Formats: sequence, structure tokens, C-alpha cells
Amino acid sequence: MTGQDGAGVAEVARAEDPSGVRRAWRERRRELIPWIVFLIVFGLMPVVYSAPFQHNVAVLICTTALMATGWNLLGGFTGQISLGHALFFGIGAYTTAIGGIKYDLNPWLGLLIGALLAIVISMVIGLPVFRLRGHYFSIATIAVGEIALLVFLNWQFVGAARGLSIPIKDDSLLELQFSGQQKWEYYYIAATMLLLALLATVWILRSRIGYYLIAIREDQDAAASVGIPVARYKQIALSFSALLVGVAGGFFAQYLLFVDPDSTFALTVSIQITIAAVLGGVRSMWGPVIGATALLSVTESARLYLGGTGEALNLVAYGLLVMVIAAFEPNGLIGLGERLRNLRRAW
Amino acid sequence: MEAFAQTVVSGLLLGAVLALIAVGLTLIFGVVDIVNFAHGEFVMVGMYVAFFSWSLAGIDPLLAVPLSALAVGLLGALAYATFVRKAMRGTLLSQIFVTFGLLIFLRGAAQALFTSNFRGIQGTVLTDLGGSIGGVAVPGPQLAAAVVSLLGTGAIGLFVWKTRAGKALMATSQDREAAAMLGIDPHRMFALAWFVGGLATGVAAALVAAYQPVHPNAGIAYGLMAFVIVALGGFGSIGGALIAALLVGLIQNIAGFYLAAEYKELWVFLLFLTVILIRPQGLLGRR
Repeated sequence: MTGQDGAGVAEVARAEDPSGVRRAWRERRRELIPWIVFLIVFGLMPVVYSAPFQHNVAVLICTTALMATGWNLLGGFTGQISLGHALFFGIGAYTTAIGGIKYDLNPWLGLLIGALLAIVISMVIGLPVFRLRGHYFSIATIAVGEIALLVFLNWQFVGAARGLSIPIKDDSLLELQFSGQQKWEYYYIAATMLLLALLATVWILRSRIGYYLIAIREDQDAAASVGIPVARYKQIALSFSALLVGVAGGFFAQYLLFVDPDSTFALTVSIQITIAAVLGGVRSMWGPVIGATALLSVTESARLYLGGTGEALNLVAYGLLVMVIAAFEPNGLIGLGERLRNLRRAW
Repeated sequence: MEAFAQTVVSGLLLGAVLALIAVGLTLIFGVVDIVNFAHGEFVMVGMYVAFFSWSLAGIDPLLAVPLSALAVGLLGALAYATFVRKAMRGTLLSQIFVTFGLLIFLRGAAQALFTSNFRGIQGTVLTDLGGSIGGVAVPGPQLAAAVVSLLGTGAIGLFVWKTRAGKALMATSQDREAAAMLGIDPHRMFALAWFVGGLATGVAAALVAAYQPVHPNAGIAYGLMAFVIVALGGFGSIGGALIAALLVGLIQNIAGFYLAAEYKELWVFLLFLTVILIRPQGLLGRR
């Protein structure tokens, strides 16, 4: 809840009253706490959890949090609930993979081009789907995602349903390949990207763009009537989320050295992205990070210890969880935490 | 010419079944104003009911229709009473994710209980119904599914337009406050819409199980097509759903045969996006 309006309050407090300086400082400090917690937790995660399996989970947490952060600017802050974000993940993954395999493109450039391509495609898609609102919008995004899945499942040039393997090279940061059992390098690259994404998000939310986006979510017609160019700002949110999800896709292709349509373009990928955000809480920029951490810690452990049944039971558990959140606590784990804190204060 | 006639017949057979499934979805949306994203999973549940009726008790899928209908109808009413009713008071996000959660839950439950194995019903009385007319093959199970689905769609139409309960349902769909003032309890109507929507879907599901493999993901294709049909026909419009469903069945089969079989669903999605670009409210929808 802190990221959005604290700065404005601080400014006003300082201007009105010199003794308010202290209060302003307190506000600042309260905003800094989540950042410090984030740096400690994500900085030490691979040190504390040092087994290769745990490194893998940590990498998944970072990439999922990155995507969910992108999704949330559009879904949580702008109120446009996309169920087709796997599209951008796939575009990023395939651009990096095909670039590397067929054109000997450097993976970092692949990441960049993939992200740009994701943005361009988001603009093409924005045109028809932003004509729709609410449920209609969500269904259209599913349709767009399914079109992409069908195309890539049958497109021979990109390996169709079999997918593509990226050739192995010597370990280097420049080639974005590391062959060790431990995933230190991948982890810290992903964590750095997540940190950059969060900084960009907080900048957007504090700028005029952030206020416009929230205004659009609260009442689109009212926002338009006071002169906010609704379509343009929805498109900005969509492009930003396409950028983050596209980068995550490119990174993931490089991490697995393999892409196929079912692990990139499928509806399940879109589900994973949105659920991380919804579980954590969509009203806060920290929600997606908390949600991704909780979701993957639990589900990957269950998968490890329970195998195939674990996967099915995971679905049962997080299906129930999503229903409970939707019905009882729309602000996710963050909302639950606040409720508990208020309860304790009331005691 | 024969090939073309075959694609048209197959398209209409598929379209009729899709129509009943989509009518179930559009009825729920029209009255309750919530999209049941778990609709494909409702189909899957109905298919399992028909399969186990056959494998455990030897009940023919045709006779399992009422069982499946009742099971899916109750599932719908239960979903409404437990979670959906609460989520309706929340934001758009809650309304979308409550049924999205149901989708994940049902798929996971099916996988945990019945594994991901493909199962199929062998030897139904419906197989003998089929035949071919002038070189065009009409398989029995598909024919029965199409005929019963059309009857079911007609029955839903009669229920909604002719009976007291149906009229109360439509009144709630048009203006729930006004209907409430006339003594129609909106919550009972919402539960009824979920029940009847589930009932319709369950009828189609049992019949589909007679010729399609049954597995936890068996409903996905039907669910996706139902969303597109409902959006294409206009949300809440029963007539629109019927027309759009027949159109979708025809496109899948004709484009699948003449253009490329693997892209048959792609043309449906593209048509849908084109239509909403021109008419966001769908073919017969009101704004």
C-alpha cells in the first residue's frame, strides 16, 4: 500500500509545517522498509537455500515475480485483466532462441529485441482488445493467446510442437550461459532484473502516469471526462507489462536452453502469471513479489516431494486459494496480513 | 461436392452441441453478470459422470444424460452458494478470479482423483443409429448429441420465455432491482441460473462423452469455444448463442478441411476478433 501516495503526503506535510519534517522522514522510512526487506531476502536467498533444487526455485520465483509485476501494472493498477500474457512470454522466449540458433544473435540482444517485439505486438493487440471492457476484454485476451499458441504449435520454421534447443556455449556472462549445477549466476541476473523492474514500477506509480492508470481503474468514464487519454494510458500499461514479460521469456529460454509452445504460449503460463499477482495482492506493487515467492515455494516443494500427484494437488490447493481470495480477501496475502495486524492492534 | 456436404453436416453436428453448452454459459452471464470461466470444466465433470455411469453401472450415455445434467446443475448451484455469491460484491477482479479459481480447482481435482489417463466409452446403443446418406457419413453418437442438444436448447428457450420461473429469471437479468421490488428474490434467481446453466451443459457433456475421450483437460476446447460463441453472439442472448455456435461449427469444419486442419480453431478466434473490432457487443448483443 505504501508505494503510491506516500511521497505526496510527505511533500504536503513538509510544506505546511516545519515540525512536519519529522513526520515526513517517518513516511520515507516506512516506504524504505519493504525495499530493505526485499534486498535482504532476495540477496541472501541462494545462500540460505543452497541446494540446486532450491536455486532453481529461487530463479523461478524471480522470473515469475518479474512477470507478475508487469502484469499487475495493467491488471491491478489499471484494472484491465488480461488472461493472455503468455503471448509476450512466448515472443520473448522465441525471439531469443531463434536469434541464437538461426542468426547467431547474442542472447542479450535477443532479450532486447524480444522485448521490443513484445511491445510492438502489444500495440497491435491493444487496438482491438481495448475496445472492450471488463469480462469482454478478458475473453478477448484469451483468444489472442490461443491464436499465438496454435500458430507456434504448427509453424515448422520455429520447430512446431517439438520446440527448439539452443546450442550450448562456454560459460560466460556475455553469452548468458552457465552450466554449473548451482544456479548462482542465473539467480542474480534474474534478481537484478526484478529489482530494476520494481524501481521502474515505483517511478511510474509516482509519476502522473500512475495516477492516470489508477483513475482509469476506478472509473474509466470519469477519467475520460476530465481529459485523461484513456486509450493511450491503457496502452502504456500494456506495453510496460509486455516489456517485462518479454524480457522474462527471453531470460527463461536462455536458462532452460529450450523453448516449446506448451511451456511458453499455453494458457497455464498466463494463469501462473496472474495468480502470483492475485495471491500476493494486486493493490500493491509488492503483492506480485510476495505472491510469486509464496506460490512457488509451496508448489515446487509439493512437486518435488509428491511427484505427479503433487502437481494435481497443487492445482486443487491453489484453485481453492484463488476462490477464497476472490470471495473473502481481494487484496490477497497483503490484505490478509493487514487484517491480522489490525486484529492484533484491536486486542 | 460430397466432401463439402460432409463438412457442412459435420459442422452442424458440432455446432448444435456447442450451442447447448454456450446457452448454459450465456444464461449464467445474462442473469448473474459473471462469466463462468470454469465452463469447460463443467463439461469435463459431466463427461466423467457419464463415463463412470457406463463403466461402473453399465448405464448407456444416452440414459446417463439426466445424471450428468443433475450433477453439473448442482455443481453450478453449489459454486454460486459457496464462493460466487460472495465474490459478486467485490471488484471485477474478484468476479473474474472466482470462476478462474474454480477452473483450476476442478481440473486439479479430476487429475488427482482420476489421473490424466484418457478414458473412453465403448459400445453405446447410439452407434447403431448412424449411417450415411448419399455418401455423407452421419455417425450415430454425434447425431444423437446434436439432436438432443437442439431439443435442449429449445427447452431452455421455452423455459425462459414461457414459464413463470423463466420469466422471473429474465426479469432479474434485465433489472435486478426492479425485479426484487416485484418480489423476485435475486439470490434465488442467481442460484437458479447457475443450476439451469449447469443442467444444459451437463446434458451436452454426457452425449459428448459417448464419442470423445474423457480426461481432465477434455473440457478446455469446449470452454474456449463457448466463450467465443457467447461473445460472438452477444452476451446473454440465447438466439445469438445458437446462431454463433452453428457458425463456429461450420467454420471449424469447412476451414479445417479446405485450409488447414491444424488451424481450424484459429479461424474461429480470428473471426471473433474481427467481429468485436466492428461490433464490440457481438452479433445479437445489446449494449
